[in-house]
Amino acid sequence: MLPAYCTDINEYREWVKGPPGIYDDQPRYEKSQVVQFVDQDEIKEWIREFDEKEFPNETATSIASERTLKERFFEQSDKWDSETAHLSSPAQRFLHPSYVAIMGMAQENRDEIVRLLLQDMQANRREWFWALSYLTHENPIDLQDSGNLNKMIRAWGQWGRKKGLL
Amino acid sequence: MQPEFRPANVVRNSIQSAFPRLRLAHWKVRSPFDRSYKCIAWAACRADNIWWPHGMDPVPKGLYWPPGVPHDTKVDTFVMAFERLGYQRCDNQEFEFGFQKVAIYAWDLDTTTHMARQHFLGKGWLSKPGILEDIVHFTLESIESDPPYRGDGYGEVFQILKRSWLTALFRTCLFRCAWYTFRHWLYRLVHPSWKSGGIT
Repeated sequence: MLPAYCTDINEYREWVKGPPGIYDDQPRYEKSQVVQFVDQDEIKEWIREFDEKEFPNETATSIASERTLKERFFEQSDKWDSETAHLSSPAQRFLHPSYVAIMGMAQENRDEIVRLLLQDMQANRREWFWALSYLTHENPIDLQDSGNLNKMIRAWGQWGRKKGLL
Repeated sequence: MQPEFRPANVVRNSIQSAFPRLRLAHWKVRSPFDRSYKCIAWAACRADNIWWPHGMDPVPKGLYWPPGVPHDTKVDTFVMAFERLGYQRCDNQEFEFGFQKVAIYAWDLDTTTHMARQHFLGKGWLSKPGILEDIVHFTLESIESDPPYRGDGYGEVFQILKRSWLTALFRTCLFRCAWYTFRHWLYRLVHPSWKSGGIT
């Protein structure tokens, strides 16, 4: 019995045999004909129709744009801070998905994320030193102040004010 | 900035969720929430800075590490850092009169995660879990994690170090320990929510 997606036995053979040219020694179709099998625009249209049908009001784009960068930043930073609070190893702390998410947000608006990191560090004393150094390629901490949280936060605060970010 | 006094139930929940074995173990909170120092500094009797190897950056991005000690997280590296403070390798975790001990937690010989310091009189082990409150736990195993070691667990104890009280005295560590212990005792004594919460 033929499957539902085949209208005749020749079409079924085509499906079973796989895409032309892969298993054959000699391709049975020209390249222009093969392209017809994988029409990119048609696939995109299928995906769009599927999304509209299954997720009529929600898409990844709409979810991201509904909430501001600031809201998403503070959500992820609170989560990161609470879930890694017991860890001392920076490597363990940076592997947390929320930290990665925040670094990913910098792709949307790097300056805004740097400003939020600086604000959060001043207000909540969270350790964003690595993220700030990575995003700004700068490090205003003096060698003799390393490890001293108050002095390091003060150094980044001065740097932020100098750059007009605070 | 002043240390933060979090409600007793919040402290208990956050620490027990990080260390599930503490739900069945005897432990106590000894200090308020403080971001200014973490476990390695606390094991070295310091509560004024954060210790951790900061990689090969010319200027560390927020961490102190003793000069001349390699910048990696191998257990041997942490041993080397504490040898500068007069510690030597030791093969047992039992209290020995006249000696101070520290324990190094790691996932494996290359991945150190935490350190704990033995109570001066052997009444348990003092740990500063990250930025959370200091705790005293009565066995080293109670903050170990279950294998396979990954994610947010401390792994297991890989090395015990010890030094004599005399060495600690010469390096002024004993004075610092006594001062911090007294300060934390005062906090516990005067802070009403801690007294009512039975957090001591």
